[in-house]
Amino acid sequence: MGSSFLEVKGISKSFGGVRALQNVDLKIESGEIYCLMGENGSGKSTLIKIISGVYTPDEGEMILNGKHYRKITPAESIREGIQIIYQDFSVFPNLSVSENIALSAMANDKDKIISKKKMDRIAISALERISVSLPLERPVEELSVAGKQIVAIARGIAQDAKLLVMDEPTTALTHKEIEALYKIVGTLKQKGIAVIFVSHKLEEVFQISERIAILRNGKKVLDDKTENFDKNSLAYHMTGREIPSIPYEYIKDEAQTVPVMEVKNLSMGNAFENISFCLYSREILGITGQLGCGRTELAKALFGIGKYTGSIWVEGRKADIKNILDTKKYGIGYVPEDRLSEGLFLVKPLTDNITVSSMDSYGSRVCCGRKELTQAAGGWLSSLSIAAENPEVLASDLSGGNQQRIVLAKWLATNPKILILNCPTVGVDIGSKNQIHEIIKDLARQGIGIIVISDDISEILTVCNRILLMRSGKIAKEIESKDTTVEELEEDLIRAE
Amino acid sequence: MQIKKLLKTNEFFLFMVIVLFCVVFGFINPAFFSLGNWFDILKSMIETGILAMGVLVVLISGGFDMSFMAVAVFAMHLICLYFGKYVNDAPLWFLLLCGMAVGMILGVCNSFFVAKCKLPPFIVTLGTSNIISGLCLAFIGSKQVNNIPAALISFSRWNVISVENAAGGRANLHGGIIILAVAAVLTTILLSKTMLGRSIYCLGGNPFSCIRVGFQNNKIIVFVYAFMGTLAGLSGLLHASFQRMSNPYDMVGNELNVIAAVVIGGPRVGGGYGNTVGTILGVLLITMVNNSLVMLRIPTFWQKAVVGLVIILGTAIQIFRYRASRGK
Repeated sequence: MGSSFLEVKGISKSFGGVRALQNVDLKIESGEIYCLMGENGSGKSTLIKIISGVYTPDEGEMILNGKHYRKITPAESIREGIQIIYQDFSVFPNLSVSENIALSAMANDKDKIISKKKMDRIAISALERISVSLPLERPVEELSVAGKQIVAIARGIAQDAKLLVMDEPTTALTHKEIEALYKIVGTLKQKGIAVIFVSHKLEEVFQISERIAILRNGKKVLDDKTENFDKNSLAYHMTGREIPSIPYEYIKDEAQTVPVMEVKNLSMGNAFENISFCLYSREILGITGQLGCGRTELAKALFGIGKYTGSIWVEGRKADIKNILDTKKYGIGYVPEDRLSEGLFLVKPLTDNITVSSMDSYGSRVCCGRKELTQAAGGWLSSLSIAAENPEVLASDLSGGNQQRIVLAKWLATNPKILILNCPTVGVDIGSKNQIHEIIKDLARQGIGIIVISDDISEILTVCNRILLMRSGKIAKEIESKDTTVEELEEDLIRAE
Repeated sequence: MQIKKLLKTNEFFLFMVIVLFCVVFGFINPAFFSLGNWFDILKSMIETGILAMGVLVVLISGGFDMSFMAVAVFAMHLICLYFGKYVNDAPLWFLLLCGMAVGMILGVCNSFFVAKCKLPPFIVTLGTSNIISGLCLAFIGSKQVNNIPAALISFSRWNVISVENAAGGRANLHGGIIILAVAAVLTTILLSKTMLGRSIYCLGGNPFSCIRVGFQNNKIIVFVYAFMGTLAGLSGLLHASFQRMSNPYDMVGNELNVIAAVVIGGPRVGGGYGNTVGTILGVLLITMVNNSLVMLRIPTFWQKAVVGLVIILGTAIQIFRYRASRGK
């Protein structure tokens, strides 16, 4: 292994009295694949922003290529070869692939005039170095998420990156795309480029990294070779406590004869076809499949979004679901995948967010007092243990896990019989994730029929008692959770392509 | 392959719409195809076209400008009044340069509010538009100026092409078209060949990434509004020349006609898209419709309605085509 490329020594940083980082050391060698782990708020992003020069540390220093930096500017950081691949990739959707890749490098060269030849040359050589080919003239907005990510990586390479920091790089990728990304990372390693993976997904960390550093509450709690960890120890060190994962045990309600929801031959355009299944109360049904297999469209169809053929039956009666208002009538609640844009009013207080769907049930039909709403919201905050000072806090001020619980509370306030949860723990750290799982199980025990849609295999297996595997718009397999394992299910999922 | 790609572009589509209009107009009144008519259309394009280049750049950057007409009038009235009274024999290039400088200063003022104060450009320029108009009337003068510099008068008579037509009259192409051509070529080079121009696209495409890549957004914003102001100043003086007087109540209120011509040419709201070819075609279409309705003996009060319709149709078809291409 080469010499150390970046050394971070005793870095501390506070924001208004809150210590975001305390005395953190890191050492990264050229060509090393490093994983930086931690829950939300553990200081991962602060550390990255210090390395990239966005923040100035209060204490400590950095040694880059043997040069000592008390503080570093963004420009210096780029010059030393540090490139950050942000979660949104920071690409320009309106510009071509080659321009996206080459423009920064050309701007660094202080080019005033754009030479198309030079631009293409830079782009081609950057893409060659990671052994990928992309159509150079295509506008980036037409590329897939993975394509945009490759453009962002190639842009870093074109600027002579020696260290790539990837912030949660696999969040929106399919299995195949993740494999391709790992291959690219492998190529980078061979070229002596170091990579920092920032992640809180336990599975991928083991596949890709050589070293793992764990941050918790701004302190580095562990830093060791990957082979010295296992999943449980990682989870333990990240959260500082044991995370139990007890599978959900479904106890059939003998008095119940008709399913709470039955779906017969549901089809929608080219999203999915001929989907049929039953859902009983107290049951948690998992629907999994790869990105683009039709699972999200199916969830939305059940919630009255989009045109479908076939029929949906609720408690033995045919339900005529054409829009979202209809689903409320039948007692169906839906927690969307993208809570920020589909599930929350970010700049409104929690009270409004929680009571918006159940407004009719407070006060008289005509008007209702703010007090009553706040009270109701307060009740939900405590019963779902949402960490918020009071119900008048804005939704945008909460963490991901708490926001997800607000969306959940919104639908629980309507007393649903059926709850559809689309990727309920995306972007939520493991501690909160576990709490949300427990809430879901509790709700099912109280008699709600729940559908959980997710591509997180271990989540599906701990939460659901029955699983539908979808493959290009059809149900490929129906399994009882207790009859399968993470490995088996994973294989089924990957084979789906 | 290249041709196929060309056929799919917005510009080609717009071109076909223009051809269609020509055929219809020419069918109703064959005089539409006369050289005189085309020279008139080209002359009418000069002012709108120069302004449109500035608007295009602002729209690409993700900004907006409602004040350019007020800027144009301010520059026009100030220069015409001052030079008309005191330095009547100032050369044309000097007058134009002064007008552009005045416009540029006002544009920089706009950019101050947008870049430094981070205020929404629409509101800022709506405000500055009123302020600039008000200041113009209060301090420069609210009366029409007939005694404009001699160079502007003689420029109004400058024709680059003059052809005798069958009826014995002359069809003249005004020399201002050269100024429009130069402005269009320079804008094209700026937008497609320079780092500055590409950074304007970056700013419109994704302002956050723009900072991360290392561009200085505020500098780009200052340039963009200064560029708009400069062209507005230029077009103000050309307006005075064509009218042979300076009327401070002119032009203001016609901002949306120019913006519409640009929008038809391709830029999307929010910035990042658009090019000069589309803009010129958009200006051509709007000017052609405006000019030709009179020839077709359609009462002038219909003119506004028809232009409005062209604007809606022009943009609607583009958006539908865009959606269709995304749907694939």
